[in-house]
Amino acid sequence: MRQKLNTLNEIYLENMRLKNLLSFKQQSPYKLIAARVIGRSLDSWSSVVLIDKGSFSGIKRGMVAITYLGLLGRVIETTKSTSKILLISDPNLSISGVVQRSRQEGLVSGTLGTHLIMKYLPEEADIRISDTIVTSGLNAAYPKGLLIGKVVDINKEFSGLSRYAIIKPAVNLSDIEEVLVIIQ
Amino acid sequence: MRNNLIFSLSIVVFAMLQVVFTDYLKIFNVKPDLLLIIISLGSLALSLRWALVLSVFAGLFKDIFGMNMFGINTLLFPLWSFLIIKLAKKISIDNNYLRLGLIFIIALIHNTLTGLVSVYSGSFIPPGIFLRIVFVGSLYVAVISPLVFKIINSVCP
Repeated sequence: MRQKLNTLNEIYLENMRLKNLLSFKQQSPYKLIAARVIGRSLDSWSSVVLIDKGSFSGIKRGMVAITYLGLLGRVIETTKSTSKILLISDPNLSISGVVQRSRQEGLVSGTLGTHLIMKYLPEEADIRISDTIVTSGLNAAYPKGLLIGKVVDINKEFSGLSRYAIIKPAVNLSDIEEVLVIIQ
Repeated sequence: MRNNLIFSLSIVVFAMLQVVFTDYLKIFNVKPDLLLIIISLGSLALSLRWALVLSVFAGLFKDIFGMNMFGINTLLFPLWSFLIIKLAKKISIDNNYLRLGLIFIIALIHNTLTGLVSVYSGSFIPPGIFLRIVFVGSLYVAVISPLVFKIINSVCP
């Protein structure tokens, strides 16, 4: 009985997630491909997920991966039936971000942790805690206005010349199960 | 023979756990290297030939599913196995603390080497993150190794 209840609960939660994904896919201006996460990076040196769709479904290297909550990462490798996505929490992925309220620009990078860092903010940058950070569109790879996360802390760089902001990603990167890849 | 079978199965089970569940076992954003623990413990319990075969298999698995340079784990895992077996012939490693210390040292060297390979192959890893993974990761592996040993011991007393 308990086993049955647990299975039903799992199906219910999956249904809710897929419903959100489908409604986002229908409203989105982009052409998207939905995929399931089938693996994660084994070690702590990188932040990567493996999805069950590859070049056969039209996914190519460099494409952007999102969820209905926000930006997730970028496709770095594809086979016929799988693709590897480098998550935004990886330090090797840097995205040009902008504060939605003040349009202050900065470079968002991963820390291999739960939070991201927005660097190269001038001393007088107009940025506050709880500000929303979105992609700036300066890098052609990332469409403009994709939600990255919210500012949770602002500090001064060690040199004292600029500031940096700590960002909590909109997507909980440790429990992604379904993703959307922007193909057009 | 039974030990060989138990460790072979353990490698498969822990490899699956490493792929699917280690994200939930993160401490300070560092994942435990379950395969390194298994091959270290296997080297203390198995013959040289079996320990080497299993460590090559574990390394190959980690390289296939990992993001680091291919071959690094396939090369390093058998090396650790070989060194542990050689060391176990010279000194007794029956003491739990000694075993824990040995696994910590191996994890420390392994993490440092894989980290350096990652950096030299073009990945950008800030020094703070590098040190966090190397030290916290090695300590984490050493601390949970008695638990893994207990699990294997309960299956194969």
